[in-house]
Amino acid sequence: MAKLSGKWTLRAVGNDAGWQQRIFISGSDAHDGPHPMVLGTTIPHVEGNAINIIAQALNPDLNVWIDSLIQEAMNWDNSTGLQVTLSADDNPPYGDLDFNDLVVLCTAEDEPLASPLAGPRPDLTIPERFFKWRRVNPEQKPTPRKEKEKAKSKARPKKPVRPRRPR
Amino acid sequence: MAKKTLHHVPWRRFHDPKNNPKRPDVADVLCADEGADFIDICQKRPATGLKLKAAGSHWSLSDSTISDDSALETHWPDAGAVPLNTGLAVDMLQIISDPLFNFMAHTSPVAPDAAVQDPCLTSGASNCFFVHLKSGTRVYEAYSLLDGMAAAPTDLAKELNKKITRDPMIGPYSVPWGFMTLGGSAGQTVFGALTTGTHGGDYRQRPIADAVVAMHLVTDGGDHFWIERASSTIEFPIANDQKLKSIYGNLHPNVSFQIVRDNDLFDAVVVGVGRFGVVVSMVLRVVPQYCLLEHRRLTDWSLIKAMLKTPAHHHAFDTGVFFGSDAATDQAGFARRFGAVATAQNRFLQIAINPSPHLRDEHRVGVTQRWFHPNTAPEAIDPNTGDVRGRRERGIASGNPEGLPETAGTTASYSPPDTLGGSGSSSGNFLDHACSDGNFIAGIVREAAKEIEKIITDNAVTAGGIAAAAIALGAGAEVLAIASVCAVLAAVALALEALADAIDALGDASLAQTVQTTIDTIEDIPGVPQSIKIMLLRALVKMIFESQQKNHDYVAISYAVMDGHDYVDRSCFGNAESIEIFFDAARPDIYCAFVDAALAFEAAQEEQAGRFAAGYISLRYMLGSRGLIAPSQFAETVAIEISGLRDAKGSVPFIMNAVQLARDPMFRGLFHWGQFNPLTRPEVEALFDAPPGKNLTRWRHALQKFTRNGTLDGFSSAFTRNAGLEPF
Repeated sequence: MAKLSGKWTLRAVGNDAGWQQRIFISGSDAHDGPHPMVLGTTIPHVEGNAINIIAQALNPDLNVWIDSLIQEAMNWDNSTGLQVTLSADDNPPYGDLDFNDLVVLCTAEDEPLASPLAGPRPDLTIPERFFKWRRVNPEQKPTPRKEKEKAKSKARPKKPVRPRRPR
Repeated sequence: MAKKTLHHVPWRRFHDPKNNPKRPDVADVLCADEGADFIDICQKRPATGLKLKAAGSHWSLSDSTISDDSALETHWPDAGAVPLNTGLAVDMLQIISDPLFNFMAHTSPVAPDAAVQDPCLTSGASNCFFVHLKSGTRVYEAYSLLDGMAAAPTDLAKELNKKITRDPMIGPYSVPWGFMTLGGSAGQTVFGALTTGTHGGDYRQRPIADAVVAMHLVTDGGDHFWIERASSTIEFPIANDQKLKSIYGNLHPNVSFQIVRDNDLFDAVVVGVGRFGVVVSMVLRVVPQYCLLEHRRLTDWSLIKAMLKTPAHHHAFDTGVFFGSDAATDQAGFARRFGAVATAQNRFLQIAINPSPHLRDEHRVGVTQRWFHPNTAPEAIDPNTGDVRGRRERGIASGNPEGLPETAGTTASYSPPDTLGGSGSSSGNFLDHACSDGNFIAGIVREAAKEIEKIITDNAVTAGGIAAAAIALGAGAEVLAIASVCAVLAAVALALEALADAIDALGDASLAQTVQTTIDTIEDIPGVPQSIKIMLLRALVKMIFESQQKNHDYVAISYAVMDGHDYVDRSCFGNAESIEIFFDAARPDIYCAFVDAALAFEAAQEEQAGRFAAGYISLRYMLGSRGLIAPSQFAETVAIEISGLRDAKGSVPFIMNAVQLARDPMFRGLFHWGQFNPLTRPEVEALFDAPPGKNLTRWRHALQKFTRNGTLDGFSSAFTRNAGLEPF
């Protein structure tokens, strides 16, 4: 079982299973219950102080939803913010433990867990034409540009030599 | 035995501005230097109706040492003739239990000069010594006192020597002793540091509190207690009951004295955040003095984060790390210089991160590792003095028998005399270096000015130069938008030259002052677009960080390496703020996300508001503490310290954002009790009272016992009530 707090968008980013997959949410303000998940399914604005999520897979022989094993990993992405990836492996204890039967990416929607860098950012870069590729000390290795030029010159076919006109 | 009460005096924390004390007028500041004095003060307290709170060096940045009413001081930090509860307490010989004495007499420690293995990685009664220290002893006073015990052994050491060699002055116990671990600075009192959860980065050891084996606690109302654990790796009682009763039993006619041997009570009081009363003395387990080899290399956060997220987690750094295109040559040189030591498992890991980005979203990182190093190997010996490196620079106490000048607690952090560009101990955070000499920044600013002049001449940024290292290639929309880049840069170069001169003119200015002057000057350059200022400040901040965290390798005596604080008084305003958040080191995904979120905030405030934080983020690792409410609760814990200078416009928002993140239920960070700590009762209960440990409940049961079921509340304070550190 995975736990979230705050406001989240849930999106299925992986679904490599023979069985039908879903998540079951509890503890949310308005999204409690089962949610079938296929690749790309998105559930926005899942909110609550103590949201619990379990992943389930439908055993077709028994027609029963069975709780899957879940691995969770947290990550920060500057373009979005806090992300929690829930990776499920179904049919325990007979699963293959590859944790790719269902993968749900949960992305925080609100501050402070949403990234303050999510919007447009000033371009604090310098154009290449203002950049001088030269060695500042003799021990420095050749710069990428020189290497690039060298490679270019090697690849360039030699100009055919025009035979001289006989005088 | 002495007591003195100061009336209507300001009460200031060490890191507060001198002209703005935390409490401008405290009616009664009670100072004492003996257990009997403290007992008398506490015995009279209930009749006054005034609250008390014990404090020492006032190093704490939290409000945990702030009393509602009167202050009770073990080491009043301001100048003046008041008694200080410092130095050795009753000699251990007078109280030691017979089984422990006999064990020590039959199990001699390895002499420091013969040691080939780290003495800090064992925890039993062998290869160690026990000292009984008064609680107001500053850490640097304690380590210099311990280091001087070869010439001035305690009575216990003499008696043990006599048993072994028949000569009290010569024997295995007449040797220098040392702490197993220390925090990054040593100006705190020993007990003040350990009772708030202070730690080092020695990831194979528990925090400092776990070196305590006995305490003498005086509670509200004056009843006092000798407290030991019921079971521990020492395996013997520390003190003898009869001896304790004869020494402590009759200190005051109207109070009781009890001997308590109980794990929970001990583990509650040792990290008690001052709520239990005043601990007037404690017995510490110390080890034969040793040297440390410190190794530091610069690299980038993305690389370190990837290493932390491997299955080995922070143990990916168990052996020496080397980075960059010359890593193999660097490693070979290190191995040649330090031999077998360099290939052994290290004991310390600190990862210091520059909050300001370069190349858009990359961050410079200084990785520091340490190994035990034999005292007698050539690298450990100072070529100028023939003594162990660092001892004379950092560990000489006043009144030493050789008449050497006092250096403990008076000098700048240790820097090896024969290491080119050696920048001294990596210990500590930005606070510990905030008062160090900041004049080196003038050189960095001049270097930057020269580079900018070169850019004007060449009309290009030179690869490998300062600006190139901080600025990424790209479309350069901001640069292209400027009509005349060179005219703007000319103004910047002029301003930087003037700034360098101004820094020189400041004389012996602190790093804090100098950094702030630099940021202010650049922000005030007229006519320069904000984007150029941001690029320039990022380049300068990166250079300052790299100069503070540059590559180095050196060996010195343990405390000279572990204590990185600069004690030279530069009238530093010390106007700094710091938090420390503890996470489970087994979940690098969580704590790296926390760090990344804090870094993103800094990048955003630089880009969106032109605000810069002046500070560090520092990660240090340790084993979990036995203290019931110690913030290092996890089997392997990482402490993330975020500190900065309050006067830099971005520092406080940067730190407060980290506070908000740490308190978010997704991160659930534990806060250091001795640094800024905003946790409320419900948060403390959620963090410390989870089953099966129910640590806070057990801590509260201990408090009930020592406060007559909560009826004696003299050591309660606004801080303890807010945090729920109360008996119920």
